[in-house]
Amino acid sequence: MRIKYIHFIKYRYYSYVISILLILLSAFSLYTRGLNLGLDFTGGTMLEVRFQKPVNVKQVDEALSKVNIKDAVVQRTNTGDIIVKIRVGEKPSLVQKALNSIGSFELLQREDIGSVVSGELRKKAVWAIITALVGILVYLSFRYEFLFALGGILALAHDVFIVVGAYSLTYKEVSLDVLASILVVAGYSITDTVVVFDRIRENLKLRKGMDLGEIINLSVNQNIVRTIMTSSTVFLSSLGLYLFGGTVLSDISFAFLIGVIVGTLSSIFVASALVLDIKIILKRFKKQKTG
Amino acid sequence: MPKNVFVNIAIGLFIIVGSLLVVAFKPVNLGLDLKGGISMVLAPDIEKVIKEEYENTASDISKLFIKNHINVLDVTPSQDGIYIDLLNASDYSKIYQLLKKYYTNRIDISRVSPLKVKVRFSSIYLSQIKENVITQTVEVLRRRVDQLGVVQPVITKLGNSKVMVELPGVMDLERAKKVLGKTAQLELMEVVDASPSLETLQKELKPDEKILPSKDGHEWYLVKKKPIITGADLKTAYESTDSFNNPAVSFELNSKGAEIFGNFTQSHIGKRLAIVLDNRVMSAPVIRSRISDQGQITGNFTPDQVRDLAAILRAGALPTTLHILQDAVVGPTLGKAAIKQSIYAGIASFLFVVFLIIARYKTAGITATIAIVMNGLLLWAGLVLLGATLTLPGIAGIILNMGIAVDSNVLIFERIKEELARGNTLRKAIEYGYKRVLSAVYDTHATLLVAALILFQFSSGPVKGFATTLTIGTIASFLSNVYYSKAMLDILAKIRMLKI
Repeated sequence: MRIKYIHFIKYRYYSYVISILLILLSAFSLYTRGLNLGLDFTGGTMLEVRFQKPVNVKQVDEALSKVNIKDAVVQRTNTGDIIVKIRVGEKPSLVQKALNSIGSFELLQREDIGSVVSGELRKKAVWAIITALVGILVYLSFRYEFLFALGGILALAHDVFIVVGAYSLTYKEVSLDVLASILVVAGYSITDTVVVFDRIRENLKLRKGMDLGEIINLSVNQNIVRTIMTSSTVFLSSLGLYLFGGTVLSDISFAFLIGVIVGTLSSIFVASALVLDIKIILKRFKKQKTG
Repeated sequence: MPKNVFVNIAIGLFIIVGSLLVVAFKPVNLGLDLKGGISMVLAPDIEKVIKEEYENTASDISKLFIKNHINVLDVTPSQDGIYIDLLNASDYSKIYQLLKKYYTNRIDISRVSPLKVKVRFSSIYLSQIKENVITQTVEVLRRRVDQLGVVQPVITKLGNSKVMVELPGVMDLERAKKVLGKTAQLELMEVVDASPSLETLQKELKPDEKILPSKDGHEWYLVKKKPIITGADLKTAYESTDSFNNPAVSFELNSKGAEIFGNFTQSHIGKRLAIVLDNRVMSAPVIRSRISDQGQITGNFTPDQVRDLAAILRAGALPTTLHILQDAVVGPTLGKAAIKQSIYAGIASFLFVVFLIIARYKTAGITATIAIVMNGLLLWAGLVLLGATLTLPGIAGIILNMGIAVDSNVLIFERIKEELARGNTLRKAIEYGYKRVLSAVYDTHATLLVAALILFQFSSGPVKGFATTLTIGTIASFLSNVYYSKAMLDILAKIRMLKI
């Protein structure tokens, strides 16, 4: 695999357009569809059962409306099991009764989460995302110039936002596990960027006098094969999980599948380009002030 | 640098042999989502305890004032403190000194208005109450779970206001909720009057009395507030049958309780005694003769209920009402299926990754593959040694870690290729390759650690498993990159087998 020298910096405006489109799409989806929040964040009861004879969603819906349970979410997994979710306040015993009226079943799992816990978890989730971003920002500005840390964090926020947007678009459930997975994707995505930054730092020392844009471009080019290779390995390991791992593992790995792709693109096109543009803007700003 | 190579090989071998021994001799703890069982998060009603404590303290303060000949208008407890209404504004300093003398640092006193004083528990005392309630709750729950004979239960404090209970292998959620959630406050009380009408009793109510409902809710009892005996004086409780041969729970009192109870029953022959469980009158038999140490709780019980109630009474009462915040039950089928699926997923992911790196890096790719296996071994040994619990998301962490762990290898190999292209010899290329990417390897591992460590604030359940495997995995990956990978490359280079 030999890749020609590509002038990423020159073409950075095209990638900006794509990024902005993806962000707008995510924002639009989040605004119109919202997120399919899991029980962890909404509270309520979830029952997963396996009927002896196959049962479809409609039968369950009908049985539930007979016992006066409304707003229940009924899903059928790819193994044919039935998942019923109800909100806080509805009686789980009525659901059991409704399911009993359909046929005999085995209870695979049940979860009840009170509104106190789900409220707390929502708060914690927001804090976790903020502390993760700030923690990484602090680490990066400690190791690199603040400008690089800022570029890295902006690229990271871009990745996280698009991953969350993907969950909204596909309406996949966002449980606590998924949130954890998104945070780790964030941690991983920044490593990709860090490697490029590391190279830029090395080249800045080696080639004094070279233009920053050129140095960034050289560094991205020197790293491009590596970036693609490492992203591929993580992508492939999450693909295994996504294809064979069952519901829980698939939902977790989806964040990685999307996150790795977006993260790779952003570390090639967005992070360093942002560093350059912020620097250019700052310079102009200073000139205006002094001049 | 042959010396360095040998040191690295020695450390690498030491870690591998150690990990193998650990993995071979100690099984990893499986989470409830993998082995099946019930988990619950419970919160004792601390507000209620504090409210009761304010009520008790308020009546103590009234007595204290009477004893010291201080006349006040009123002493009223509320949810967040005790209000004292003064007759004379000049009494304040007297009252202040008296209360400070008796309660020292347990209370804070403030003056709301010239004639109104507010007494609140100090934050030290409040946190002491909280601590006691939680500790007691954990102890009682532990005894109850022991009475049920659950194997390897986990009962721990969660933060400073919650308790987490995990019961592996138990599937009956409703029963578990009843057994753990019941306060089980047994009280033997003196009956003043009984009536099917609540209003009749309300007219007779005196300050030292209260009204309690019967078990079925059809009758009301007027009883003395202060119980004669509480569950704290119980020696034991066991299943039995009543005179109609219905299931019942019999109890025996300890010697202190027996003495009090004996004296009471002797002086109250012909009166009624209420047997109260969690503020409901279970029965109110007429006292026929002196009873010293035995009693019976009857009601429309099933044999199962009787067995559980006896067990709960033996384990003791909870300090306050418990709220169930969260519970989950996972059946045995699901956990088994999950383990199977994760094994398939793991194998698939491994093969995908290995195929890619060997295709690109040839024999160096093989060393990277070995590094992945070593890394997995180290991660597993770390889990076992730390006594961490493996959950389903934890498995996801392990599998994803494979892809991430190989990252540094790729980084190094690409750099070596680059150095080779510049015309360096193989040995120099390896040397430079390692040296020049080391800082990047540090940074990548550190940022991942930051993300993984933050996850630990979700300190319960499966997510903790995810955070654990990622944290250990990141550390393991760092070790395996620094120790085995370079050593293996050096060996391959030496025997002229390195193709990259």
